[in-house]
Amino acid sequence: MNNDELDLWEVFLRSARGIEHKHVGSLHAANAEHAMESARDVYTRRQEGISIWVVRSKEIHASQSEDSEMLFDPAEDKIYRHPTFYDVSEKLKL
Amino acid sequence: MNHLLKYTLRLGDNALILGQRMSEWCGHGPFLEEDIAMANSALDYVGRARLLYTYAASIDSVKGRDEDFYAFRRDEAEFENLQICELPNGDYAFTILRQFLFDHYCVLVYRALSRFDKPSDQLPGLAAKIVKESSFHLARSTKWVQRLGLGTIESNLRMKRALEELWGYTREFFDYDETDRSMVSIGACPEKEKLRFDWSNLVEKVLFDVSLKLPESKWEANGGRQGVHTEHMGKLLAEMQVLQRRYPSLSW
Repeated sequence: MNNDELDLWEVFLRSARGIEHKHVGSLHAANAEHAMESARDVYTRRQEGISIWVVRSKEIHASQSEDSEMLFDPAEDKIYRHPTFYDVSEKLKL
Repeated sequence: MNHLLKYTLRLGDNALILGQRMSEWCGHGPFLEEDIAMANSALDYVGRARLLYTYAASIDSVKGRDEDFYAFRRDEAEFENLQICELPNGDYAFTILRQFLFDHYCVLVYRALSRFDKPSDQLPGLAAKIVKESSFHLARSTKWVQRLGLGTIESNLRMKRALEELWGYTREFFDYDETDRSMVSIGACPEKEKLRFDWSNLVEKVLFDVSLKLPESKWEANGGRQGVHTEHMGKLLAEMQVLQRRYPSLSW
């Protein structure tokens, strides 16, 4: 079988209750069911997860590196957006 | 040998021999993800054999036996696995179809064993654990049968050929002897006709839906339960047992 005939899928795992899903890798599969089965064997055989999400890679829209300046640079000098200027009461500190 | 021990060893033999066959795919699968999935299932089967052999050792009247003894120090005639487990892998259609036919058999047999009401015995618990992984195996192999059955003219043709070859071997599932009947009588094994009915129902439906017709051949395999094997068994054992035969008690 040729991998070209199979779509690429991104796999997200949640490792424990209350923790968010994290991207763990990708794999080739014919459809969502197939991706789910393969994800189980490829990414959870050592008990890494209790929940799986699979998403067709082509459905993910990614920011482009040439847009980085426009997207991210303006935040560089907005240090007031960080909550570091506030004094936190001792009682609230963990 | 009592029936419970014999029955447990047969289940262990099925698991070990098929697991050994499946593991031959490791590094040779049709593509990376499938290679990992097949090797993973192979390990499930080998792990299952270990559980069953360890249990068998605990009830064997001959003391000092362990899982390695059953796996590595018995000869061909002492293995009582069904012949379908020892057949060479063939192409991927053959491999997948065998898994499908056998996974369904496993789900039914282990489900019955998991309901075996024998307090303080660990066998029903082991069986319940095995039912879970077998259910996943069955879901996986069913999807593959559908993909290959409905795939291309070539894949459908290969499935047809595989079905012709394998069908007679599935008849052995229902070739009960006194050990099976004894297990039926204590509620640890499905009755033969019930097993045949439940197995055929699902298998025939899945195959029909992907336009695979049941073969007309009436040929039936038999003898695995009595230690009679195909010509392929000797070579499989030679490869699997060579280290322990050459260096007895060798460990990693």
